[in-house]
Amino acid sequence: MLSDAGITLVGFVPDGGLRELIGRLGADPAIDTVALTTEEEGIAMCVGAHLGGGRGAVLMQSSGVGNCINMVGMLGTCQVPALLLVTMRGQTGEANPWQVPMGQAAGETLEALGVDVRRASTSDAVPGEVARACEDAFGGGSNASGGGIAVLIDQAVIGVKSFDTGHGGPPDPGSAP
Amino acid sequence: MTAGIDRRATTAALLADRHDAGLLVVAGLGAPAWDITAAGDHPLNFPLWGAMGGAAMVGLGLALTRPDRRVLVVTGDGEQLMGLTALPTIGAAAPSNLAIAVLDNEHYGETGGQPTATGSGTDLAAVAAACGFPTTLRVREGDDVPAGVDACRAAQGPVLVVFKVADDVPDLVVPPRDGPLLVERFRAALGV
Repeated sequence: MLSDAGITLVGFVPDGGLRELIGRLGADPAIDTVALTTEEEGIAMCVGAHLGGGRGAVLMQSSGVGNCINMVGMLGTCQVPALLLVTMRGQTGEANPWQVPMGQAAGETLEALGVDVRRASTSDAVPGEVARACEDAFGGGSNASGGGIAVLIDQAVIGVKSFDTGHGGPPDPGSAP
Repeated sequence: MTAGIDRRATTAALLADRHDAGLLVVAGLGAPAWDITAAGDHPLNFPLWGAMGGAAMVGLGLALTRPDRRVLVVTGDGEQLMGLTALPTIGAAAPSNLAIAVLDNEHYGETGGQPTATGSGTDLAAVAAACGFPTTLRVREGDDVPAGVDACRAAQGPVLVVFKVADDVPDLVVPPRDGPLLVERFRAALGV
């Protein structure tokens, strides 16, 4: 779908919920993928893609929204279209309280910076929301920001991460948060 | 003032004959943005007025999107230190057409000259080399500027060259600050 929308460059910081998508994008010859060290890099990279005539997207977990705050301002200031796909943590059923503050604040934070925020709360809604966001961002359609459009994919779509160690104790050291 | 090479002369050398080479230029905020403008405002300049730490990654996005063009990022030590995480990302992405010129005066020149970590041992060229950049260089003397310029303009990328410049603050020569204007004139000049 992202290559159908003409997206040429995708940066990502992995999330469990994005694993399959990242794998598929890596196999798509129409799209360059870049493994980012931190999410704000992806925002700047989208600006470069737009300058060169490409279309950029960034995939991240909701905690990554907090890592991009200042850089996201550039999308509005420079009116650069970009797609942000955010898989949510910290919602209903979250088993890791450390994920809650940024997860709860991610949407409002992006809105405060002028990003047009949409939400997909069921798996059936995801393809339509992402397709509309691409069309609106890059196709001259309805884009409240004139810059970035984010689609927040509810934790309910991805599923809640389990920390069940099978012995009632904390997660094994080294397991990803 | 700390001794060092001249930032404006270095920038002018980096951008000489840029038109024939089709060079695309991104500048980090502050002095590097004024430096590239002092060398001659150009539609294929994208000077940042904010987004500190983002210049190298704007350059990566541009380099991957336009592999037919050489992309030069001109930035400062403070800006690149803030965007340090871009170096492993760029090292892994390995764009052969991207060069980063760091005008390293070891200070935050825009805010009163406070020291940066490059004056206390951090070597950005060594960091880039450790991140897999095939071409890295430190230029400390004026006589070595041409070698640094050649690396930025033609060597196998990604390239990072640190130019140890004096910490003087030359006259402000400011580019347009209207973001959409900077974006649209750049795209128009590229024909996209």
